[in-house]
Amino acid sequence: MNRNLWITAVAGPCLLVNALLAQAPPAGGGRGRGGRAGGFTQFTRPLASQDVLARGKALFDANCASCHAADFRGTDKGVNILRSGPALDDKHGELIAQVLAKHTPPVNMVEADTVATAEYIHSILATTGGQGSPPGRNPTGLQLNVLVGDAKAGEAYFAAHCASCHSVTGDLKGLASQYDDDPRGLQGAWVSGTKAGVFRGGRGGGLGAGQPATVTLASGEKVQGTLVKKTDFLVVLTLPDGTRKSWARENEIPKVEITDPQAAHKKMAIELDDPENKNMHDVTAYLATLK
Amino acid sequence: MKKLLFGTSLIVGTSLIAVPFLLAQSGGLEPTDILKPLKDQWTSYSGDMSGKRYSLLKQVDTNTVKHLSLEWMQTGIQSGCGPTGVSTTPAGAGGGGGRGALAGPAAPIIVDGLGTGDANNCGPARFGGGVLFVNGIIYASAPDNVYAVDARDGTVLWHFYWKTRGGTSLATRGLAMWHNYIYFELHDDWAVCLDARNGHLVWKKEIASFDQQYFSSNAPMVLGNHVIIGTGNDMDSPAFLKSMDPETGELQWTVYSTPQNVGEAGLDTWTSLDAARHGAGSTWIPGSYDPETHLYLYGTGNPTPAYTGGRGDGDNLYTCSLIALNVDTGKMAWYYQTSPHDTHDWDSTETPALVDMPFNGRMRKLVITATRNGYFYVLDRVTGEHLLTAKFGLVNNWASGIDPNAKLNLDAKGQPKRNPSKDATIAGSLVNNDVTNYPPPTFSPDTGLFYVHEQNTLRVYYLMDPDPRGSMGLGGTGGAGAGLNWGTFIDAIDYKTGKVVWRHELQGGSVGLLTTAGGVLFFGNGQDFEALDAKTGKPLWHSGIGALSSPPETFLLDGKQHVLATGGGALYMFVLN
Repeated sequence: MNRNLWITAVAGPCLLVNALLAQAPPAGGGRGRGGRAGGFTQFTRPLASQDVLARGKALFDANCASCHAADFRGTDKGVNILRSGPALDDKHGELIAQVLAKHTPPVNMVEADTVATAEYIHSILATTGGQGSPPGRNPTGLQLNVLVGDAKAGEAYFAAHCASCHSVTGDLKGLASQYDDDPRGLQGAWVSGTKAGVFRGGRGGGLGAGQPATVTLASGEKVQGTLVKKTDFLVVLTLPDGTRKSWARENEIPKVEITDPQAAHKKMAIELDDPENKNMHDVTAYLATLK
Repeated sequence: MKKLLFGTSLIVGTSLIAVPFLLAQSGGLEPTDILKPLKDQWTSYSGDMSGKRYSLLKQVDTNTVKHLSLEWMQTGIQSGCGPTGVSTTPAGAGGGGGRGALAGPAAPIIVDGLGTGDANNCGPARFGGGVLFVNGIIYASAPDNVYAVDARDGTVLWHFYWKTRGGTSLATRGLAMWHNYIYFELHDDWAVCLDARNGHLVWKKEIASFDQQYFSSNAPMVLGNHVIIGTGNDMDSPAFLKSMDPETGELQWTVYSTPQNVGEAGLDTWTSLDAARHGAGSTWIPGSYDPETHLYLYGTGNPTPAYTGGRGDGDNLYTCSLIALNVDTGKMAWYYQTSPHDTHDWDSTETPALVDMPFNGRMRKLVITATRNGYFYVLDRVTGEHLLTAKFGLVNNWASGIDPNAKLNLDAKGQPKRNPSKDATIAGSLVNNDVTNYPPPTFSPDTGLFYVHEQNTLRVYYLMDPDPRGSMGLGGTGGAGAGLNWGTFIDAIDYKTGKVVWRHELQGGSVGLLTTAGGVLFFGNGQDFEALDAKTGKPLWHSGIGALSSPPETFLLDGKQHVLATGGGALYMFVLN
């Protein structure tokens, strides 16, 4: 078997067929989605007509899919076409024709069929997402069971670690109903202590802006407000009356104390951490019962 | 002649023979100056070849730094766009090429590239690292743009503008120089050589396939008669390092990060040859160079697929590795994998520091690196002998427990042993994000401290693509990932012990660090350009110029130590008054 080619020799059933990709190819420009997509020729160049793409799909399904899979990700008999150099570099079938010419077993296509197959391949490559996310990524129809924990154990953990601040009949009553069909959202919310479960502060952000803060001046006077900015040389508060007040800082004076609304959950997260994530999964399974 | 060595194709001939017409290139930056310790000029990405970002200048010290003041700023430099590169966006002091800080004619714009100009973005130049200072001229770059600037008043002398085809237009890592040649990588995968005197194109070479989604943002490195080129890719395309002839751009050798053929070393760490070929290990940050051994020490990126299956359970060599490569032969001398079988997209591309310092009672030629996985390593840079592994980060739990003081879970080579339960899982895994990243660290021989930025977050990683064939690139993870942030810091790490001696909180991310023989540590801190006492971490000085876009640099101009910062599309030149 010559693995220098993206199409390999032996025909046979593919391992997994992603139903999403068995559907009709995109009609538009297929511009990529996600972080770094956009601007790549494969994402932006015009696609062939729907007639050509439909013919190409039929040819691919008949001649290629058994080894390379209908979703292009390959099988143990044929490599992944989504990341194939010749497929990506090909413009209108010229490189794919070269591959087919050396293919074992032979693939006999007339030039027009080769071009149609190539155009279909390009139409799928055009749906590749940013940073190489494959077409059909994160499929919505796929059931991924997030609730793997032991709800009983989670209830016990909750009682020991959470119940001093939260109540399942009080602030958390009906919590799970807010996250119907979204256990990831539920898990994110309770771990972070934020309703949306969103990531706070970014990966490299500073802490504290927008949070309640107390500034203790050299004289001992304390001023409270909402932190606008704290640096090694400056602190700025919005005072309760809405005015803005700033002080120069030197050697950490004036002292600035920030109330971190996530403090309790950060402490909890460190206690929660275990090598198997068991505590987290158990509590999520328990909270998912709070309908 | 073509020779294959663990994915190395070597074209012998040009690399070992002295370039015959050096005389034609006399002047500019002499090759001997490239190898000098960082002091008067800034001649490469890190200032010198050591990667320490430690300047021998000491006019600016812990006492005098408070007198550092702005000499000039240049806010009028624009990124080119359209067919001619002339921006239609009003600029503070100039048009497409930028006009000098003083009144004068607009700088000439030299236009090249394969696009139409439609894919280029107008606006203030997004300056990247690797700003050069040679013979009174600043050579700076932004994606698809190179500028020469008079260091005495900020006047733009020329502007090279590349009409891009598009692609992943991340920040550029900067420029390299050799004689009167300036080298630059374009994001749509070409390398250009420019005449430093006027910005005119000398040669251009395609370095990777644009259609395969390579993006070339690395700063070239000139090592002897080699221009070293690296690229990035998130599409599982083979990662490599190339060496080109500085005069002609002809290819000298190519070294792949992963095995590309049967029989190559490391193939047994992959599930198949196809997985190895598409296993990445991108080379998107410059390394460091030891001129005595001719070894180029550089880090490779994460394996792909980054988060999912499809590459077996092996180490996936030589991704996430520190590699010592002989630049004359293109052969690997040794490697050390800092993250065997990485599963979190934690590249090990961070620029290593080469230092000659005592270790365990005797002088050693060391290489020091701190990688995204939150581990700190000290090795012998000649032999690759492992000397020390330490952990940093407040909530770094992917291999050892979250307790910073817990016993490290290391293998016999000192490599961290990952906890598979902290991979992205369907039910979610509570794990730290990357603890540091590509912004370059610095090492001061005076303090014996290695300074690196540290970020501390926990989030839940979900596996969204359980296909046993694996996903691609960075695909296959996502979902609601609760995040908790313990803040961002500069860590000062004792290289002998790996212990964090002090930790200074930052108000934002880092773009890179600089230390000097004056005992000062320069860095960007939120909206401030700031200086600390490198020994103690005590704040000494700041200037509220806004967030920096590249690491600060220092050099000598007219007998005075200057400090250069970039940010918000502007250049800021500071000097002692």
